[in-house]
Amino acid sequence: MVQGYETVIGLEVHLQLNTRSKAFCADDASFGGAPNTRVSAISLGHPGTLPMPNRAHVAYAVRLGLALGCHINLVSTFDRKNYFYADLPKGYQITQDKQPICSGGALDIRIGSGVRKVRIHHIHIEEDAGKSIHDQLPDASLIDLNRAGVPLLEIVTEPDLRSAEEVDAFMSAMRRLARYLDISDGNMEQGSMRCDVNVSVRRRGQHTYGTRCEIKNLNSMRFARRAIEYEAGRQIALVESGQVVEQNTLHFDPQTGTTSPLRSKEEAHDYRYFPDPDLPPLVLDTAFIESIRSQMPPLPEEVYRRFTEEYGLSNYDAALLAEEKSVALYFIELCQHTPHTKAAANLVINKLLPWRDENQADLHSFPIGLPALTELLQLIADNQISNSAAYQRLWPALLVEPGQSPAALAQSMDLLQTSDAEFIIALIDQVLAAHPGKVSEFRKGKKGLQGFFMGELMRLSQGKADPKTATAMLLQKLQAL
Amino acid sequence: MQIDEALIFRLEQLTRLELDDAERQELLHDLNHILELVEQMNSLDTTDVAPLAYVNAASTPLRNDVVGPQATPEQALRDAPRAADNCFKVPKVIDL
Amino acid sequence: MAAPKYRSLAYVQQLLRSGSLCMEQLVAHYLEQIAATQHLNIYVEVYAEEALARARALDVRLAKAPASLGRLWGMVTGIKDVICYQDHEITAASHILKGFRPLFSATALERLLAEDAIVIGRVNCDEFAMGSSNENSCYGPTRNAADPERVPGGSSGASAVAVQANTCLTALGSDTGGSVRQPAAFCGVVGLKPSYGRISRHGLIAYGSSLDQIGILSHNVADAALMLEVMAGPDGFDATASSVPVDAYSALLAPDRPMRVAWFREVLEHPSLDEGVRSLCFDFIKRMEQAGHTVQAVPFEYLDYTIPAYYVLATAEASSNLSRYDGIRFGYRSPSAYDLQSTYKRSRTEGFGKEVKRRIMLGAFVLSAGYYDAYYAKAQQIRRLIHDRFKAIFQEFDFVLMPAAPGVAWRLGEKITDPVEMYLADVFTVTANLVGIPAIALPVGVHPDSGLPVGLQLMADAFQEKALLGFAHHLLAQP
Repeated sequence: MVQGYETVIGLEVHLQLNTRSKAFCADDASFGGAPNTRVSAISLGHPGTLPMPNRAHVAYAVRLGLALGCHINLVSTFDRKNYFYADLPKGYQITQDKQPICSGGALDIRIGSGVRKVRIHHIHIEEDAGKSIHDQLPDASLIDLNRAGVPLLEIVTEPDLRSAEEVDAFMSAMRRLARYLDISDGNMEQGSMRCDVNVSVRRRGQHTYGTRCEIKNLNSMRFARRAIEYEAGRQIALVESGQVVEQNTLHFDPQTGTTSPLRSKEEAHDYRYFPDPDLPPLVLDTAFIESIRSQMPPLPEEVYRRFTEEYGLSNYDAALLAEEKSVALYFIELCQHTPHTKAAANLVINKLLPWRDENQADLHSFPIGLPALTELLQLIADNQISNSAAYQRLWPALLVEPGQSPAALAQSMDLLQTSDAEFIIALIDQVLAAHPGKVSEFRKGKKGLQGFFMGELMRLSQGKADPKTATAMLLQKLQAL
Repeated sequence: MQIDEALIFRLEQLTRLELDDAERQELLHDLNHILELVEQMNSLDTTDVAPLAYVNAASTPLRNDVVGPQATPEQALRDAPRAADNCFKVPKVIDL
Repeated sequence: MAAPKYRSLAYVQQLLRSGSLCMEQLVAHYLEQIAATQHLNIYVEVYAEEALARARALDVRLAKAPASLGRLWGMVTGIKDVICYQDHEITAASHILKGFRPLFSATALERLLAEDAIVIGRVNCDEFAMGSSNENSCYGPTRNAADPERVPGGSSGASAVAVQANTCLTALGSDTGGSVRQPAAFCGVVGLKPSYGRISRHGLIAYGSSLDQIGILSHNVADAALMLEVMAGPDGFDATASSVPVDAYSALLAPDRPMRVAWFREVLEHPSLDEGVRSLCFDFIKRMEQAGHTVQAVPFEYLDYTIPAYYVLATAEASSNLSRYDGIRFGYRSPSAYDLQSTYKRSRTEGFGKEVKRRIMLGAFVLSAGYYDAYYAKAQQIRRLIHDRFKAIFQEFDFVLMPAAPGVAWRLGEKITDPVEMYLADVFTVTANLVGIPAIALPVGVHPDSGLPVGLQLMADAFQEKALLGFAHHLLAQP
C-alpha cells in the first residue's frame, strides 16, 4: 500500500433468508432441490401472476433492523428494477428503491484490540433471481428457477470500512448476527450471503471521496480480500500517475487476481425503477415491531461483553464461546449454576465443542447433563479432586454412566482428595520417618529435596492428598525441623 | 432532451426490440408527441402535490409463511421452447 | 339486430326450472349462433365438447339435486383472450404466446365456475388489450354485428360482439382505459368496469396494472350485477384486491331518494361532439329529471390532463409488464435466435405486433433515467389532483354522466385521425381508470343518422357499485 493513501470501502451485503416460502409466493424456499421443483406459475413469471409478500420476510427484516439499531420505517414501498437476464423470469426484480424498511443503524467490528463502528445506510427487502448453469452444455445455458423469488435482505453500509481485513471482520460479524437471529445461515460458499464491494481511494486527510468502482459477485472472503487489495492498488497507481479512475462495475478473476470491467459504459443498465403497482405500501404497526423486539435473542456483542466483563474470560475464549448462539446460551445457562466461569469455559471448549462438531448435535443432548457438570466443577474448585483425576479418570467414567453423580462416582472410584490435616500430617510424618538421611541433608541445606518429599507424599496418599494443602503443611513441617 | 436516432437505439436496447425504418420514423413522431403531452402536463402546477401510486390507499396484505402447491418440472417446462435436464435451455450466455 | 332468444339469466332460469329448456339445448343453441356468426370472427376457440359435457352434467344435477345448483346455473359466458383458464390456450391475441397454456385459472373465473357458469369459448381482442377497435389482433379483426364493415370497438371488441350477436349471455372483458365500455357502446350492450381492486387481477394478463380491471358485457344490468357479485372480493393472490365488503349487487335496489347526477360542460357542450350522441345524451338527462333526479353541469378543470397522465402511466406499466415475454420459458422463440440477446430481440420483435412494440418503447422512454421525475412522477401528481377532484364531486353528487364514446363505430381499416375526436374518445373513458371508480356503459338507443348503437356512461364513487347498478337498472327499466 503506497503511503499516504486511504482505501475507502462500502459494502452491499445480500442475505438469503431461511423462511419456509419465497418472498412473493408460496413456493418452497429451502436451498437445493432438483432443478425446477421449487417453482409455480408466479415464480415462473407466467402471464397473469401477481406477487403477495411473506410476513416472515418482513419480520426478519425488522428483527435484523432492531439488532443493528436501525430506524424501522413504518411505511415502506416496493419498486420494480427492470432488466433482462435469463434467470430473471419477470424481466424485473421486486425490490425497495425509494423507501426501504430500515434506515440507519450500525454494526461494531473488532479489529486488533479495538472496536470500530460501521454505519449502516439502510436495509431493504428484495427477491433473488434463479440460476444459470453455463458449464453443463457446450453451446447452451440451462436455467433453474428454484432460487427465483427466494427472499433476500440487502444491507448497504456507509463507506466506513478501510481495509480488506475490516471487510472480513464485518462479514464475520454479519454472519454471526444473522445466525443468532435465525434469519439466515450466512454461508458464503453456499451463496446464502453474498457481497458487492465498492472501493475508492483518496489521499490521507482528504475529505472528499474518490470515484468508486463496484466489484460484484464475490463469493468468498478470500476472493474479496484479494480483490480489494488489487483494486485499491490499481486505483492508487492511476491517481499517482495523474490519471482518472473511471466509475465502473468490475468482475474479479481469481485466476489472475485482477479486476476488469463487467460492462462497457454503453451497456450500463438503466433500471427504470418505478413503484410496483401490484404491491401497495407495506405499513407496519408498533405492536408488530414490539412483539418482534420482545422476542429478540441476546446479541453476539452483548454476549461477548458479558463473557469478558462479567465472566472474566479471555478475549479468545469469549469469542469462541460467543460465535454460535446455541453454544453461548448453553454456556450462559451453565454459568448460572456455577461461579467458576473460567473453568467452565475450559470444560466447554475442550470437552463439549469437539463432541458437538463431531456429532452435529445440540449441547443439551451431551451425555453428561448440566447438573453433573456443575457438580464436577465444584468438586475441582473445592480441591476435592485434582484436575487430572477429574478429566483423565472421572470424566470417561461419567460418560459411560451419565446418570451418576460425579461426587458419588469419584467416591466409589476413590478419587476424592482430602485436605484433612490429620491425614496429611500422618503421611508427612511417615515420609520423613522413612527417609532420615534425606531429612538431615535437607537440614544441612539441600532445600531441593522438598520436591522429593512431596512426590513421596503424593505417592503414599495415592493422589488423595490435596496438593495445595499438602505443600503448605509439608513446608511448615520442614521449616520446623 | 434529444429525440433522435441515438435515443431510439437506446430504447431498442432497453426493450430488446428491433424496429424497421418505417417503425423508427413513427416512433420519432410518437416520442415528440410525448414531449408535447409532457409540456401540457407541465402547464399544471403540481407543487406540493403528493404523487398518487395506489388509488385505494390500502396497505399491502401479508401472506403467512407456509409452503403451498407448486408446479412439477413437467408442468413448469411443458410450454418451454427448449428444455434439457429439467431446465430451460437458452443459447449460450456469453457475459458474466 | 334480432332480439336475443334468451335475454337474461332470470329468463333462462325460469325456462330451465319449468322444464321448457335444458342446459344442453341452451348450449347447443349458442353453438349454433357461434357457427352462424363466424364471419364476425368473434371466437378464437370454442369449447364445444366441454360446454356440452358441463351442460349435460348440470341437467343431471337439476334432476337429482336441484338445491346444489349454483347462482350462475344457466349462465353461458365467453372470456376474453387475456383471462387465464387452466390448461386452455391463452394468447392475448398475440403470436408471442401461441400455444401457451396457463397452469391455473383466474380467480374471477374460478368463482364463476364454482357457481356453475359455463364458459363457451375464448374470444378475440386487441393484442395485449392495446387498442380501441379489435383490429390489432393476430387473428384479424372482429366485426360489429350491427354492421360487419365496422369495428366493434376495443380492446374487448369481441366480448361485446359475443353478447351482441347472441352467442352467449354475458362475456368477460378487461378495461384499462375504456376497453369494456367503448365496445359496449359501439355494440349496443351493457359494459361494466368495476372499481379498481373490486375483482382480483390474478389470472388477468396485465397491461396497465394500476388501471386494469376485469369487466362484464351483458344484455342487461341484472346479469352484470350478479356476475360482479360472484367474482368480487379479496383474493390471497392479489395484493391490490380490495377487502371492502361485497354488497348484494344483484338486489338492484332502487334509489331511496332522488339522485344527483353531474355532467361536464366541457364534454357535452364540446363543439366537436357528434350531434346524435349529444342529443341522445340530453334525452337521457331529461329521462333522469322526469324520474325525479337532479342533473347538473359542473366544471372539471383537470379534464384535459387526464390524457397525458393516462398515456404516461399506462405505457410505463405496460412496458414493464411485457418484459416477461422473452422467448425463454414459454411462448414464441425465434428460430433464428443464436445467443441470449438475439433470443430476446428476435423473439420479441417477431412475436409482438406493431402497436404493442410501440407502446413498450414509449413506456420505456417515460421511465428512462433522467425522465422519471418529469414524466412518470408528474403524471402521478396529476392523477392525485384528478382523483381528489372526483372525491369532491362525489361529496355533492351521486353519479357522473358522460358519453361512452364520441361517436359511433367507424369502418374497419379507417383510423380516427381527427385529433379532437381522438381526444374526446380518450377523455370519456380513461378518467374512470385513473381514479379507480366504477363505470357502466348503457345502451340508450341508436344514432338518428346511421342507426348504429350509442352508449352513455354513468360513474360512481369507488365501491359504490350497489348504488350505480341499482340506479342504472331502474333507469333502463323506465319507459
